[in-house]
Amino acid sequence: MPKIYYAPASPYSTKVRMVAALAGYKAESIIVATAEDPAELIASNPLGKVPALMTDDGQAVFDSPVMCQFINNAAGGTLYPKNAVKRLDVLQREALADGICDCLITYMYEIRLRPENMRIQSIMDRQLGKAMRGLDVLCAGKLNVPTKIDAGHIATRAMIGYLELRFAGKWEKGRTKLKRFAKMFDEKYPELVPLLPKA
Amino acid sequence: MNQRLKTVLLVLALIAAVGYSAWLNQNGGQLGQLKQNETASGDFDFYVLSLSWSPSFCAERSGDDDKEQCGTGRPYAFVVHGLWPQNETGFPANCDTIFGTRIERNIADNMLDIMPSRDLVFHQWRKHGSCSGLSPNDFFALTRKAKQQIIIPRQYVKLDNFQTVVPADVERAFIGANSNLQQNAIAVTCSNRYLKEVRICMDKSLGFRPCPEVDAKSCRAAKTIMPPVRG
Repeated sequence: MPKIYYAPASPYSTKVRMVAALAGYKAESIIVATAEDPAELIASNPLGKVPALMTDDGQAVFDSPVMCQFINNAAGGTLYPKNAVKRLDVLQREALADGICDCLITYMYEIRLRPENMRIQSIMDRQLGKAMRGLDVLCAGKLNVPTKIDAGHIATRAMIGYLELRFAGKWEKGRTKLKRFAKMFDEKYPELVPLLPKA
Repeated sequence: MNQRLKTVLLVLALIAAVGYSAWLNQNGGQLGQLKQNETASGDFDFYVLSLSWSPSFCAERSGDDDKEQCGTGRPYAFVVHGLWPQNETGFPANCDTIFGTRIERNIADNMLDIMPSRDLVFHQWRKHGSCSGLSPNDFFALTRKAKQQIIIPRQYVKLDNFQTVVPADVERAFIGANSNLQQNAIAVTCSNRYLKEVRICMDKSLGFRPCPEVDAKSCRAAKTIMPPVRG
């Protein structure tokens, strides 16, 4: 069986595992500690980042947007439309959700890895500001859970899951649209809720 | 073609056009677009740029508690008091912000050319900036930009002697110096005998805009004093 290496708190891992679940892709999910650069992870992704995929015939697939498309193709899923214009819209929304996570995670790394007296608040704020702007663009657009969801919706739900995990109480004000989206998503796909980022 | 038929056709064409653009929109992507300086957490209607006549502030203080602003060698004239998120009615204050309530000292240092003390910068962030939805850096960059929209009338760039002024004249001087500024977007305030502040209302892109509630708090005194700039 293919192996997905992942970390429970990683929103990209959430996204990929949700895509696999919805597309019906059978894989074994294996938790790895990225800090230790485990050999099986490095073999699946030389960058040593999660998530990463190793297929049965030894093909390494990373990073998460590539994994999602690979999995969707392999399982004959419908999470990426064939129509070029619609497909770009999905990719764009996935990129925004992923990009928001990039900023939030950069911020969290500063807090977790850098001693307090070596931090530069303005640099951290800049990452946070980018993330908040991304959230605001989502709020300004169309954000619902349609009958047929795509990878953009999944990436967005995973991203909100990361906010809920690491920034609870700090991002919600003025952004009820995002909260409502997450609630609707969870009600419609209760089987995916256990895949949301966890500490 | 008779007039009524023309009207009907025009309305039909309009409906079709609106419908088509809605359809285009729906198929062209689901992400929204932000207007300038717009944030979801910064939920307010507009900004008030408050310019304070520093010598009045200092004249009302006694002792050494405001050395940074009022000590010798601080020749402040009109200074930026703050950029205040404002609603048509009332204003938000002391908001919870993901950026936190404390800001770096160097942000305050960088503002000292237009704001008279670090403590003021810190206080402005906690009370007003926290409600903008912006990061501290972006908020004070916007504050600086707002200040740059205003030309201070020549007679108030520096003042050597005590002056008795009619508040409406000060307002007129600002309107005269700033061509797009209208009377309904500016208010002059006073306290005791002193002319205190000039408040100017701006939309989020920093264009002047009317603000009845702010305007209603204008100084009602017939005459006020402007103390001279301290050497």
